[in-house]
Amino acid sequence: MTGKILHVLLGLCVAAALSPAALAQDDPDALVTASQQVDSGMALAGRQIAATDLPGALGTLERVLFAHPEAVPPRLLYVSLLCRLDDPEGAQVELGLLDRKPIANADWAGVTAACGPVPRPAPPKKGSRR
Amino acid sequence: MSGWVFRRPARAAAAVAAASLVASPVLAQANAVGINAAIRNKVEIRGAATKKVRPAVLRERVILNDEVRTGAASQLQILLLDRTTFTVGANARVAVDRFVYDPRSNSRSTGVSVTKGAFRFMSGRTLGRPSGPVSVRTPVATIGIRGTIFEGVVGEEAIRIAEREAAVGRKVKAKEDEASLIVLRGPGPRAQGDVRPGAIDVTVGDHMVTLNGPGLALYAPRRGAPPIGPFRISPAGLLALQSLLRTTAEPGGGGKESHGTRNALLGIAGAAAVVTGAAILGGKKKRRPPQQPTGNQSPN
Repeated sequence: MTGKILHVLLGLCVAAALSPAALAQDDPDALVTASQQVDSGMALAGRQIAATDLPGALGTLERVLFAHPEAVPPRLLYVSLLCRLDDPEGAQVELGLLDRKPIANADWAGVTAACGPVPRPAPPKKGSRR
Repeated sequence: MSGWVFRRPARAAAAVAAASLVASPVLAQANAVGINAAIRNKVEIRGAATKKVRPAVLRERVILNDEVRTGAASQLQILLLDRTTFTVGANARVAVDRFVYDPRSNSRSTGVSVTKGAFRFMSGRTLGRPSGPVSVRTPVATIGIRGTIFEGVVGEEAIRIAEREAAVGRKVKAKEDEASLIVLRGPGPRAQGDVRPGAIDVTVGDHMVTLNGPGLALYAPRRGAPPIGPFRISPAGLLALQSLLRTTAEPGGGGKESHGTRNALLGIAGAAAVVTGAAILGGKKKRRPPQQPTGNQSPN
């Protein structure tokens, strides 16, 4: 998961629009299927971001988080999108859910790039398995 | 859009089916308006035609006028044909009762009825661009949507959240089956990308209030009472509303609210959450012309 957000934003954005997978963005069944796993859901969200469909990406990440509520990278990308949509209060609420969760520096960089210098959630307690 | 708004079932079925065929062959089912895109815990569907209640199934088609019923700590995300996302929170009753979508002309008309519970609406792909009337109705309010993301809650939870807001307080008389709290989430004026700022026009009786900035809220306590707002919802209020729609694993939608970072953030934000007038907040409040109908059509 390390650097997943930056991978999504930098790696997928360019290629996705020309990918055959972009066609699947119009198929609701494909949208739902892709959202069942974290990696495929993040990839789909990346394609939607590349297509400037930010609300669509929010919806995708919401589905991912329904299925994987403890997953950190999709919630960080969700936070970034809320900031990009000028909803800083909503982003703060979501960030609060990430206290004591492991956050990769690269993922956090994606958040600060979108949100500015926001306080980073508390790190996991020592000895915590999460 | 003339001739597309559903008033006759046969015409409705034909129009939706036509839109379905164009939008996606896989959705070509009579009266299908969308798909169950994500389900958490107990979600049931009461068929409009059969009157029977069945468990919601992932990828199952959402049919016009079917009623969604969610249990405690339960949510459903509906993905409509036009890619609008409608999320239903815990203990809710919701139905899509009007839907037209023509992807060729990008015309659309959507009506959703929320009689109880929390919900989140995110406009489809053409966010901020002209389209047909899109509205969400609660027992006391009609929300006309102009490409936006907003949330709301109807019923006891609306009262519980609203009465803790400084702009409302505990002395406001409200009805448990009518009270509606509406909050605009965005996009705000500083949104990035190909997105225009969103707004909603909330009609309550003969009042119409425009919410046009993230965090602006309106509270309609009961039928016949003037709406309260717009006011900026407090961080605690937003958190409480979010807990009803939350995607976390916490049972009950977030009973544990003691995280340090969250409290710090909300404390900072709370200091700035001062109730101010509509002019400062950018909201508009005006009397609705008396001849304007109060039906389910959006004011825009």
